[in-house]
Amino acid sequence: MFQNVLSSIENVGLLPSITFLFFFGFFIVMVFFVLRMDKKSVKKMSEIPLDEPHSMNP
Amino acid sequence: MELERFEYDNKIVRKFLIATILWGTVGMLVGLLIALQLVFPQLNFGIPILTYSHLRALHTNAVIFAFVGNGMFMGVYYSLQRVLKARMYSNFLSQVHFWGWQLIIVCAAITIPLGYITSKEYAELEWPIDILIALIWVVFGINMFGTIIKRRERHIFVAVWFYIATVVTVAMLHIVNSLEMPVSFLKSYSVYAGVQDALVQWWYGHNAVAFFLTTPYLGLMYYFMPKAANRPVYSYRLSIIHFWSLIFLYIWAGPHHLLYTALPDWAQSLGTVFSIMLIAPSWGGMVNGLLTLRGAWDKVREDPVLKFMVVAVTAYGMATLEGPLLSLKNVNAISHFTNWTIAHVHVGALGWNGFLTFGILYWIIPKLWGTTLYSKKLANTHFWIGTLGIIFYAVPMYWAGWMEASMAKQFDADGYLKYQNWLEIVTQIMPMYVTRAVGGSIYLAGVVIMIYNLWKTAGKGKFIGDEAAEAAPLTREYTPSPGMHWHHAIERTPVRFALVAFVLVAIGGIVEMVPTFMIKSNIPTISSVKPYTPLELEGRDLYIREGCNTCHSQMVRPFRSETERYGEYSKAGEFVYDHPFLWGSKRTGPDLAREGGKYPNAWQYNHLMDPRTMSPGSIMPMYPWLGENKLDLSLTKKKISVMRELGVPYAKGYESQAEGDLKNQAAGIAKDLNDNGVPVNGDEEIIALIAYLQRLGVDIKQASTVSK
Repeated sequence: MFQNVLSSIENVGLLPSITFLFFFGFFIVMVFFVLRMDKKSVKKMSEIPLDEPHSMNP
Repeated sequence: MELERFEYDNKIVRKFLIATILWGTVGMLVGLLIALQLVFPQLNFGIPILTYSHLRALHTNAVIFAFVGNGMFMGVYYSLQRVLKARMYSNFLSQVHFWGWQLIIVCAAITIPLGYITSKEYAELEWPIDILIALIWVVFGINMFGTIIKRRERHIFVAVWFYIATVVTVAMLHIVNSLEMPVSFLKSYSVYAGVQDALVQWWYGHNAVAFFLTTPYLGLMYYFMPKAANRPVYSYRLSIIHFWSLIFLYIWAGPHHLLYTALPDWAQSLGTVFSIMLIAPSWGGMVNGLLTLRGAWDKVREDPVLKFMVVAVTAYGMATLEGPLLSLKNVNAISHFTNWTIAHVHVGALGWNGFLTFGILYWIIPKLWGTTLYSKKLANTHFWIGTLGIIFYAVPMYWAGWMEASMAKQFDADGYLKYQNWLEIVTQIMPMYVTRAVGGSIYLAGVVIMIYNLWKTAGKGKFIGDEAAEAAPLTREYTPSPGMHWHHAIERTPVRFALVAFVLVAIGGIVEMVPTFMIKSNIPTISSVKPYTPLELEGRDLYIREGCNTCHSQMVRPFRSETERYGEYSKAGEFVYDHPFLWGSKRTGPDLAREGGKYPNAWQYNHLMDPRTMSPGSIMPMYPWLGENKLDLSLTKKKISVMRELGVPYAKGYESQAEGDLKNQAAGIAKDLNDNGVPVNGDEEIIALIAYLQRLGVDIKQASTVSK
């Protein structure tokens, strides 16, 4: 059924390249934003596992 | 702000903890037994369910889903509650998850040795158990997302991201790869055939490693390493990059399990490219883990927990560098089908998963029982014994892999294969099999020491079932800190986060699979390739039941050394009626793709009954029960009609004729066997298996005769 629909796509070989570009773009944007993250909040986030002052046990 | 009081559920953590240790020991014992069977084939004691080809899948499933699975749940249930400052969403769901998962393990431990298997690696379980897995997995998912939603900590810590990706991706992989058409309660056929089935299977198989053995354990690393070292992770920014790149890249790498096979070339190349790119996030993660210990390396000398974790993360780094290198076609040409792969996966399983689990156990048990470790000295002993075990396991397997490949590919001066007889290779690597079994025993001895130490530790403390804690609830108003809007948008809403993760992992699968499924030119048909006869089909199901594909591939790669040894290389069009595909992934014995007509029926019969009568020195198990059991014909008709529904061109109404055809063909083989002095009636299982073996590769041989 969907076989016929999709087999009619032209230049299906471009798919991998498009996906690579998609990822590369995604990666660059992510790195850009990660570098811009606020230093204080990053520090706070990274200390979450160590922040257990309210456990009632010794 | 008023603090809310609540309790962490430690009882569920303890349950998973006990299951981890129990199934881990069982899984390793089964591994040791089958390792010894490669040296002494008689160690199956003539019992089908104790035979190598039946137990190998039990070993892999036990270690992956029972040992690492329970270990993952133990760590997740402990850390999730604490980083989110909330008790698990529902005690009831926690219990359903625990007991449901143990039920799945017990079902697997019964059905796999009995041969109720699909043949697809790490997805061997039959369809009713597949459905149960899906249901229990959803329970786990609801329990996790429920906890995330009622959390008291605004930011969702990076470890939880890894858990979310695990839940989402494993669900997707499991469902897509397990699509099968039932024939009976414990028998089904994969809806995919041949090359497509192989692609789906290794998309699943590779990502079972990625999203069952890696991402959840990375989450555990990001929580437990900072806890054990008592300092935050080296770079939280790096952990964000690590997460997103890793989950996006991993999903693409599956086809590197199928290099030089009949899979279309572009898909193979795609697998290689993404595998190489994977080095970056993997090593980013490893470096992040190791550098967490910056300035605390003196502690590593003292603390066995950190020792285990350092070796675990190092093993992760080694395995994730080796993996991409094995994905290069020129390296894969050597490594594939050999014990090199076995060495590679055990560096991951024994080093990364095993040692991280042990480190967490040594850390978590004193916490749960409110005490200190019984003996640091014994833990250190375990560490050294375990490390030694890994070395004694891995080194001989690497050596064996290189030797197998170089012997199999060697030609003499006249251009003939130097080692024509496969047994010459097998007998050469026997010492390595022995050393490997020794390595496994050493590793297991370490586990026994650990169990004693942990037992004593628990004994001197008192278990804290519900650990009281308090934290402020989340407020409705919230202003994100500058520069954080973008990530908060996805990360603060777990459902949206899961959706983004799902889209990322789905893309890779879709791009690889859609063209292979949809474009006919990717799998050129071969007119001489015909569907199996009913007898051959029954024989094929016996081949699956007995697990022959565990040690024998059906995939001749296009190398001169392989076409010389086996015959024409395998083509995609040969497998269009193969539900499921049976290419195999390891050649403990020779390839069988061109087995048909190579030996007389009598040779096959004697070889199956006792391989050493035909091939002295062979390490193949004996299958005498095949000569005694009567072939079950009750499902033959159903099998034919299910195959037709899946697209195999059996004529309409062929079912009514199938049994007659089957008996005729069986009578022919039985007569030939009788003429050659083998007393058979013709209704034994072995007749069907011989029929199948004699069919392998015959269609393609006919095609080349015709064209000549």
